[in-house]
Amino acid sequence: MNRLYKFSDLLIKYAGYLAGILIFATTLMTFYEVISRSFFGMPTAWATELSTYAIIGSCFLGTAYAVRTYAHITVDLLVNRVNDAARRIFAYICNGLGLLFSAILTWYGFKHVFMTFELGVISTSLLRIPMYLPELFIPIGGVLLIIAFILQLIDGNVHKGGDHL
Amino acid sequence: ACSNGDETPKETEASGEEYEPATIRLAYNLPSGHHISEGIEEFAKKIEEKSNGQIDMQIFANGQLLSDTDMNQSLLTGGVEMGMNSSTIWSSTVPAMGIFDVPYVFEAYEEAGEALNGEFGDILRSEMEDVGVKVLMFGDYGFGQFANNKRPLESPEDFRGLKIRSVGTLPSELIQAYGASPVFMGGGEVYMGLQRQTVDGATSGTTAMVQRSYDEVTDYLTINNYTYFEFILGVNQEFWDDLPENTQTLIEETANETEEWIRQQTKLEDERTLQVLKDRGMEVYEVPDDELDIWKEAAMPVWEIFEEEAGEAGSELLDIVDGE
Amino acid sequence: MNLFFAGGLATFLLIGLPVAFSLGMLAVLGMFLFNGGSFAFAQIPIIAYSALDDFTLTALPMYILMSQILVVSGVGRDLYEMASRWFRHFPGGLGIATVFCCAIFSAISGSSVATAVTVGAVALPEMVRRGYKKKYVLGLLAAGGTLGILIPPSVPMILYGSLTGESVGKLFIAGVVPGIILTLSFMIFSSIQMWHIKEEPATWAERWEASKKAIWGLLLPIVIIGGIYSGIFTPTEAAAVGAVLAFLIAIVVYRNLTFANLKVMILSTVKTSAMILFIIIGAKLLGFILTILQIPQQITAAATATDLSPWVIFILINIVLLVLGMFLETVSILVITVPILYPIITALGFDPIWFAIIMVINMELALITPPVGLNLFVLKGLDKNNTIAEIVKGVIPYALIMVLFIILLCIFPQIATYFTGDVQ
Ligand code: NA
Ligand code: NA
Repeated sequence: MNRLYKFSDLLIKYAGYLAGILIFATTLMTFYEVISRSFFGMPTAWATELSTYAIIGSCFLGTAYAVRTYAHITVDLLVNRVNDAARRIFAYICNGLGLLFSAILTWYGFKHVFMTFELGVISTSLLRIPMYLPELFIPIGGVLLIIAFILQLIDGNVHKGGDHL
Repeated sequence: ACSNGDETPKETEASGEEYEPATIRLAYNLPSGHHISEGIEEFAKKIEEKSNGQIDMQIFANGQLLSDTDMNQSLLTGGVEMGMNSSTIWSSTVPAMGIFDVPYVFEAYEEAGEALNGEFGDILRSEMEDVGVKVLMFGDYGFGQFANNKRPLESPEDFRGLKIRSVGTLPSELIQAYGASPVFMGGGEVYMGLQRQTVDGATSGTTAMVQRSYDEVTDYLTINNYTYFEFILGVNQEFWDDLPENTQTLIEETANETEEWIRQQTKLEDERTLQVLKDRGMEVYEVPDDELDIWKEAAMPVWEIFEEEAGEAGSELLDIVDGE
Repeated sequence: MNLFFAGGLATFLLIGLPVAFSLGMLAVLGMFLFNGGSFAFAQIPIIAYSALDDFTLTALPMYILMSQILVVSGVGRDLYEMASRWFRHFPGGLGIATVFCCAIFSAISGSSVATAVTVGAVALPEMVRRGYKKKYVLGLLAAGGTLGILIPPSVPMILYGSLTGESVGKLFIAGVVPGIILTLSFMIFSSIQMWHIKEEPATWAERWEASKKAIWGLLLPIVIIGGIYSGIFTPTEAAAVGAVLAFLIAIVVYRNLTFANLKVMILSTVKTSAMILFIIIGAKLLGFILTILQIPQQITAAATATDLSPWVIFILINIVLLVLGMFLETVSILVITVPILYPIITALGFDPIWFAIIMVINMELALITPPVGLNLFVLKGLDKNNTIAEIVKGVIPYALIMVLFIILLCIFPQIATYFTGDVQ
């Protein structure tokens, strides 16, 4: 059980690194586009499009890590003013709601990806990317979110995953 | 669907039929004031009136609900009952829809109308029905042109070396075929991109060029009518099949009337906005009829690409337009 | 139904559900209750994907990355030290310097969120270290960031132009003077607010020394502004150029990027950017359900469908925009309300270019009004110890300045329209 918990946390963290690499890749691709277009007169057919996919990927892969490190913004008006017991209950409700949202996002995300795959939708560009590929980030990110919220529920109101960086 | 087109709409009005209540949400992404938008507003109003208010048409313009790209799947999953977006977007799902992006398929407004009311239109309608959308209307947007900052484009050779902002697969292929490079940038950045000459030119209809103030940031306009932009009003097939027959008839007839009205407006609007761009100081080059073959010849690679990608339906469509 | 959404959002937020999930969960509930049950959930992935399917949005994570590099490498600190030595002897001098940085960066990026995050990452820790009250600094940064959409280039203005057919060039020019005035107002107010902090003036030698040290950091805005205005790259691409340059400066000049702090940088960039992008997804989901239920449309129509005098209608419009601005993000508000408001405004005899500037200032307000204000969230994301309540308190005076400025624009519409006549 403990090992599964640790593995899950590690998985979320490595997804976070992957998200970071996607942001780096976007930076490099966009920079390359600028140089290639403005100084060599050769705009690329791929930089803009792949950058957009990469940033979508970085959001869905990174959002579970943001949950685990309490980087998602909360409004602290009331939570800071109630006693520990109430705060604990609030935390359970919130993580439960987060889990519910993630489950819906994941399930319907999978259905959406499957439909895109079945229809054979491709991007309206020169790359003709099968659109189910970038859309796959949604259910993958959704599964990571589900794991993150389950870990939070196990933690109770202790910020175990949080603030370690 | 279009076999109903010649029935006179007065028949339904006179019969004073009862319609079952229904709510239809229709989303599209064109600014109000555009002739297609006006057509859609009128379409909705007529249906509400003729059904004595039994059919409630809720219109979402300007992409306030869905963008052009979202429309396909939202329509297929019943997020909205009706949606209107460009054929270019549909070509990502139904390759035959790319036919409107094949350069110089139509040379006149009337040609497009005739084709869409005949076998050509039927092929496209049946391809769309295969994925689950019934086509109610082909809304003509108008001919596509090129605006740029570098030089007057008086022949395909003049494109060589230019960087042109592009959307869509086949228009980008055409830009390449003419020796220019397609540039992909966000819609919100095109105005600035033209102003600062990050790109040399862009392509669009003259109606959109007026709407987006292209005259402020580009000097030259080439009227080569290389493409005929088409917008598709689709309805979710399942939703449609559940509608009572008289409602279906009412909607189809109104759609056909609107389609005709939009087609007439398209010609007038293209002419009007071209004049506006001239008046605002753009230098316009209109390709003479006897030079069109040069432009068409240089665009032939795009025909081949389309034929490869759109399969049998694509070849049939090309045969029909080529036979004229 | 309106009560359901307002109450639901308040409840979720108050029990501590993160903003992004509060918005998303409320959208899910709204779909379930009012839009055909779970059938409507098929729209969730479509909207979630399309919320981020925009190349201009890629600038956001890249600017966050850039600001992280500036902070970690010390480039930002040197830049700020320079500004401080030039400005610190004025009352509230660093406040003035910060607003100035915001205005410059706004002109560059066109993005309010990017401005708040980049300037904030550098200015917040420095100003607090030098004894400026955190609440004041947070308010200043949240408000300063909003200048990005008033000072051209401005995405909302381009959108207004394409929705109405008004000249984008005129709109940009109309934004210049109001942008400068609002910048100056923010400077003056922050100076008054932080009047008591006045440091010893630096000697000229100290100033030049700091400037020399900051030269590499100074290169950054110069290259970015130069590149955009000469058309070498777009404002979105500028983010990539900025990040790459900051990276090179950190490696070649400062030589203090280690693998360890690179890892920290990557993870904190991911956290901040995923957080903001997920709020955008949540906001779009909620926007979708509110729009399909026609709630903002009905509110806007109700406010304008009266027989009242033009100015009363105008005031009602501003109130509606303020309320919508509390809950929706700016692009949604514009595409929903402009087509309804534009014909009304022109029919009432108001100048549509002037009205565009009024709209943009309202959108600036939307960015800093709770419960949904992107700039508030960005600043909260900069430092765990910041509270939303604190940021909101700090930003209230600036919101009031914006409201006063709208009134000023009503009395002197020439502020916006004077120069637009010269265009074409
Ligand atoms: Na700006
Ligand atoms: Na707000």
